[in-house]
Amino acid sequence: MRNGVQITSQGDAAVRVRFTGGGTEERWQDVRRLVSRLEELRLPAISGVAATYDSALVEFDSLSVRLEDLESLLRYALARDTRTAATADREPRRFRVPVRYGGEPGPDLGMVADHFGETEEDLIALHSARWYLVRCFGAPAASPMMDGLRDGVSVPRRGDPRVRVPEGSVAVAGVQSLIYSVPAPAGWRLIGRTPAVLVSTRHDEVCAYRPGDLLSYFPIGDGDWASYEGLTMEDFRV
Amino acid sequence: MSSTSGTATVVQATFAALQDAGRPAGASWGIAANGAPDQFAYHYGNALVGNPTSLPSLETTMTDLVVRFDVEVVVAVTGARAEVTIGGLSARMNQALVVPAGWELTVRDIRDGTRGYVSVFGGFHGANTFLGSVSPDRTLGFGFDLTPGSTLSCGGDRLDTSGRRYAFPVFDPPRGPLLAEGELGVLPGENRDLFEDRASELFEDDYVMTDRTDAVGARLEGRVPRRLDKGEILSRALPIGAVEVAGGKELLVLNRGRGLSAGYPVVGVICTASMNVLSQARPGTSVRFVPLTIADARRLRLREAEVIESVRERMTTIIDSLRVTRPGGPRERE
Repeated sequence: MRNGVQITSQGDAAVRVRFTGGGTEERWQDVRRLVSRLEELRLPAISGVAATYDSALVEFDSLSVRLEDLESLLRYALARDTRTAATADREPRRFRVPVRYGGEPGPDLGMVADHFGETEEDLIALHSARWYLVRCFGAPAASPMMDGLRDGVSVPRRGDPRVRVPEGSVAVAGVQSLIYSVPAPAGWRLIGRTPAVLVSTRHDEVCAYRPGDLLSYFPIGDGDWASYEGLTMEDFRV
Repeated sequence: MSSTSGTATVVQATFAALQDAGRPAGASWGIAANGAPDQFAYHYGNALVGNPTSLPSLETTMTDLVVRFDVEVVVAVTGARAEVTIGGLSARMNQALVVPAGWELTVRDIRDGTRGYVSVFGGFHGANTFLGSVSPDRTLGFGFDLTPGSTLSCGGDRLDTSGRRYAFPVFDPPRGPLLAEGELGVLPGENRDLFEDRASELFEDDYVMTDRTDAVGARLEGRVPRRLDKGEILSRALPIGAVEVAGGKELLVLNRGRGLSAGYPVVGVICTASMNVLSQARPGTSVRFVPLTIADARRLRLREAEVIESVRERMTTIIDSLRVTRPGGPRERE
């Protein structure tokens, strides 16, 4: 692993490992590699690892490990050879989910289309034409955080966030996109909604997708909604 | 005599839920830890009833709780000060108590804090778990809310309390070291350099707990450090206890039910032990931030654990002496 790693304490029960070298893509890959190694090592003192774009928050129990010792463990994990990480090279899974674009489920479709200089129809075609890499789990609960519609085009957030948007809302903001896993307040722009069920508390495997997997969309009409309702992400795996 | 498993029936409850230590492993899934907001009171209650490891307890927030048990059980009430009665008779907090079969345990008039915990020997069980925890996750709509009429199984191995002539010992929790009442220990936040005087304003005045506070975050009114720049911060995961400056006149402290990632700057992180204290702060009460070192934060955490474990050790010994190994066995009284 390259140079440019900062380990900083975040209170008495967490540290942040941040990658500063290389470009955004390399940093994200460094984060994923660290997560894989920590999953492989299964250090009992580490209770969870919340990874995002250029950093991972490593939560630990200060009763079972001292901060200094945890830092050493993390340096060890960072120094391990990539190729020994069995989980690092897992094939990405692909999911293709139905979306009802525009209308009530996607009230910002017109605004977003204007922003990209496209018609609504062209924006739908554009949005459903590509694969989106799941970068990390975001808020709310395990929502897949993905790249935006087009590199370098940033979509402004709403000034006044909506109090509650339904689960399955397909949203864009900044250079990111997201599907809301559960109902939540939202400042993001909603372009549609999927009937796919993203997360479940009935299983300890919270969701079918992981960071590193790929998501794509296909447009459906109002009449098609009922036939997809209740299906889970696993059902949309391709 | 306590039988292997009985039923607890909720008679009165308003804001009450089944709680435990939460789901720390959730972080890897983008799922909040949640769990009892006052982890000390939760574990302390389990220690008092001699549970070798902590099991689910009942939590009631700012409202009265009445529970009836259909078998004899050993319970303890911990957390915020409240009036406790068993079958109408006044009882103590922070003490193992025998509730006879068919009697009601009441926790009323919670004051000097927000929430109390009812722990039972053998724990409350039968509720669904998610990532190993029964605790509510309001974001996901998961949890076991206690409402009048709801039932849970409870208890564990048989105990025989009929020969006990003395009450169980009272263990009022000792005051923690280093911090005075209303003081919260704060470690440096990663973005304090973005603020005037490195956000030292945080330590200059009191903050008032508001009623816009829930499992996700606590909003504190007071002096908000002034930010020097307006740059965007890339979303990253933030720890429990993070003190965010989200704009406006308030600070947002991230509670155990927080969304994991956020883009607001963090000026401090309240230490684990002080988060238990903050969870008991009623709206309108004042708190004060005190800068702490990591070593001191660890001392506070170790001290809490020692207090819990010493009570747990003493009470498991006492409770073990009451264990009925099997019906008609050598330790059963005639």
